[in-house]
Amino acid sequence: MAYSDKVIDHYEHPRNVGVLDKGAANIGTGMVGAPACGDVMRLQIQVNEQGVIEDAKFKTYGCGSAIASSSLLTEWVKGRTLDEAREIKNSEIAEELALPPVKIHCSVLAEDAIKAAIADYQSKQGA
Amino acid sequence: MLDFSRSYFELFGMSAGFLVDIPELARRYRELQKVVHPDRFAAAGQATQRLSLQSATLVNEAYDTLKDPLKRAQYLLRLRGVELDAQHHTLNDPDFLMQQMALREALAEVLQATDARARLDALMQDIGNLIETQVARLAVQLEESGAEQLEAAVQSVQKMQFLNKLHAEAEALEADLEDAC
Amino acid sequence: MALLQIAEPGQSAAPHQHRLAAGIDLGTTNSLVATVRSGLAETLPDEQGRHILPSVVRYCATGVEVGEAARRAAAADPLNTVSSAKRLIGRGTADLKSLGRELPYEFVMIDSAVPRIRTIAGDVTPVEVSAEILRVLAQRAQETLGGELSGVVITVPAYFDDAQRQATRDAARLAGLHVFRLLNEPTAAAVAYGLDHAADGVHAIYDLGGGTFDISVLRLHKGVFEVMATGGDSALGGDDFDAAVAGWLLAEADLGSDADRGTLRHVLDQARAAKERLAQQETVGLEIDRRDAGLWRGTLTRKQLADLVDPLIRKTINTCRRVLRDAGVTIDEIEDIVMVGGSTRALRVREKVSEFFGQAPLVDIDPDRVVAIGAAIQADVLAGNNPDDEMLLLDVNPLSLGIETMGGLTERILPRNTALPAARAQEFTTFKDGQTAMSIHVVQGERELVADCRSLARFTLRDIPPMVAGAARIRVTFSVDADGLLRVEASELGSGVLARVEVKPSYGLTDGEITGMLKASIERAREDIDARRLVEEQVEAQRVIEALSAALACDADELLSAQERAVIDQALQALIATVDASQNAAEVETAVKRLESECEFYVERRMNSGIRKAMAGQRVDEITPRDDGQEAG
Repeated sequence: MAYSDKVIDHYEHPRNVGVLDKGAANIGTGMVGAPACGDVMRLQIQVNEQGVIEDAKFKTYGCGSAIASSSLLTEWVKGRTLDEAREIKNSEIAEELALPPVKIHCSVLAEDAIKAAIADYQSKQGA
Repeated sequence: MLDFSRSYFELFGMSAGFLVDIPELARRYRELQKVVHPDRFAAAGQATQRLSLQSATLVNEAYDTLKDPLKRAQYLLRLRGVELDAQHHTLNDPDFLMQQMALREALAEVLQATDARARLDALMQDIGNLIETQVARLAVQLEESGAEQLEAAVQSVQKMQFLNKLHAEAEALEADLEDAC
Repeated sequence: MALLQIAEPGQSAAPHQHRLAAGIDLGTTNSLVATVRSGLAETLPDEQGRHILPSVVRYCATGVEVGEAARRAAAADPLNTVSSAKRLIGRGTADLKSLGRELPYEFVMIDSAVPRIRTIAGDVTPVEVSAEILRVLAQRAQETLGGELSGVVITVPAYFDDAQRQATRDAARLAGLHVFRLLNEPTAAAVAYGLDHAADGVHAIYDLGGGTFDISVLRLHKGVFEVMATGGDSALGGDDFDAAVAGWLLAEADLGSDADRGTLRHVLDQARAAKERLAQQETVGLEIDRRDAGLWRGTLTRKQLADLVDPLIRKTINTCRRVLRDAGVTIDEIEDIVMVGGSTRALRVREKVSEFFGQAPLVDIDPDRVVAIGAAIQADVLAGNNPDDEMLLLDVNPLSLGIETMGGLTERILPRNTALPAARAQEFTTFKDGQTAMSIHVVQGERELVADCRSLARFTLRDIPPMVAGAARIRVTFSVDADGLLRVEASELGSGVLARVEVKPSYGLTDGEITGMLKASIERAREDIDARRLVEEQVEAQRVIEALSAALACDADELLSAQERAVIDQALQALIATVDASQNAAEVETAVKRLESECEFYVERRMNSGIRKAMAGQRVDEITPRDDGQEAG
């Protein structure tokens, strides 16, 4: 599926929308907001004993790009280790292709959310 | 170029500050457009028309900025050297974000409710009150010059941005409800 | 003279010659031309005394017929007779399907993005059809006024998008007209209604034409018309009422939609006539000649008509409600509602509008002529014939403008109802590491998915230095001029790489196509293209000379040193000499440019001085901010 079709699909049918038990020890919750356009995002991960993300849920109120990118991200993190998830980076080298622009905050909001969720989980483990 | 290095406040001959006399601002806006608007130069040469276009665009931009409390506050921060977009990607205030999440969830549930209209009205009232609170805070914070007050003003502006977005969404929902009945 | 308007009253220079100007209402079904003579704006009749020119063009082997004759021939010669071209102008071939009606023409899809209609005289575009109508109206004005028009104001629906505006300008260019301004129809109506002499306050203009609907809310304050919000539907009008009635007729008379074109026209004509007669009577009898199947007879009542058109009227009322919201006013703040457009004659429309606004609408000017009259008043002002006139129209852009972001979603850059002229910028970044190019797709509309918005243009920003994803800072700037026409620019802030487009709509004609049509039309008129260019440049030169002379007369002493004055005088004399002596358009153009660049500093100084003076008077009552905080809320 072409990337833009994938984004539209995730925007129209977001995956992993929902909420996990915020108080549970194996759940990390990340809450971030982008003042530039007033988007709010909550992203939660459920981590097993091996440090692998078993489940991820999100709820995003905001522009289409933010919704699609959090949906895509929750799909991507499932089955990854915390270290892999923290390293999330879009580092494919571009072909000589003219791509449409990206909203600046959208490119970082979901990344910030996953990092915040990991930090929350780890602070629970440490406590 | 015109002497447009002056601030929007100077352009309108008003002193810079968060409190602005809006009817007076509107009056000055019309006076300025009477001088610079392209319709005043429809029969002039191209160079003059270009200058008029630039000037009228600037006057519109200035008016649009000064008449809106949020844009005015952002502009005042910019005049004091705070570049909001570049320096402040995310807001770090979990309680506020929780509250925003809850309000947005409540808004999303309005449509399913049987008393949708009443719920929406109550919610819009709440949002309106929250906005007013931030505006009142800004009025104080932007009068002061200390670094602490400036940082507080930045926070208030950011919160206003979330609240304005929420308010716009509530209005869109209100329009949908009205169209449907 | 425009520059004079910066001057103090009573200091005006020598009186200048009165410039001929006209206002043109280029309508879907009917068009009109009006002009101001002896201070009075009026529409102009043709030789038979008819003011209205049906917007119908018939292409014959021997030439072109425009207006009544063409309209009468439509049923007999449907393929070569084009009506409602305004519905097609600025539209792409893909739009034709969604226009939702049987178009009785044969369309030719060739490589151009613009649909062409096959006629006996060759393939024509909607732009060319509109140009024929403009030509006839301009001719009428010139014959009545006895001279060349210095410029025209052409009205467009407020809700026309960028492509439709560009196409309308292209039509004027083909017709050889200088367009002072494209004016939104509801704003024109407000001017005509003499709202400039009425009480200050908030007014609503409800404009339902043959093919378009507009609603504008504007605030009038001492001659300044400030549009607060506008909305509408550029594909909803009286034609749709007719189509609804025709659809009912087809079903009642057991005719399928596969009826032949002649029959469809016949049914449409019957539908329109029935609708119009129901404004006077409760019931109408109908007859449809079904050829082989014989004659069908039936009746249509007001009640039945109401049931057919109510869903359409409801759409307009919903739009009214949204526009009031955008304007931030409530129904009881509206001083009055002005009805414009032939379709507001329908009683049901008036009833529903009164019901919504809670007051009876104003209907005392002929709704067919009001727009042309407003355009004429504005054209007269823009021509510089009333230097002391305070009238000023401040309009807005009707639809949000934005770009496509990664993933096919729209990002709004210039929201709807922004006062024009306007410019807005927003920063974006790259998606991939090392990405060196970015494709900018400009769209118009309110929807979140790009696919649901109107595509205006595409261009590419190249040579972005390779960086990691998210590091580049790409600033995209939109500027819209007073005609509502858009220009887009993108640049990478670090390297300063720039790409810029004058938005040429995806559905527009290319410059090459326009030039080709221009040549053809000039050849047809046996004009010399060089001679025409020379005249155009001479007119422009004359404009600059007059404007500058008038400006110098009023404030040179105040704003210029003797030395500066001497430089400008010399440049001015040089241009006058060139205009007198030269028969070469390029030479005149260069001389005009030289003079304009010599005086640029003076023009700037005048503008600044004007601003200073406008604000200086205000200093007396130096504002004391109200401290109740209310105005900030």
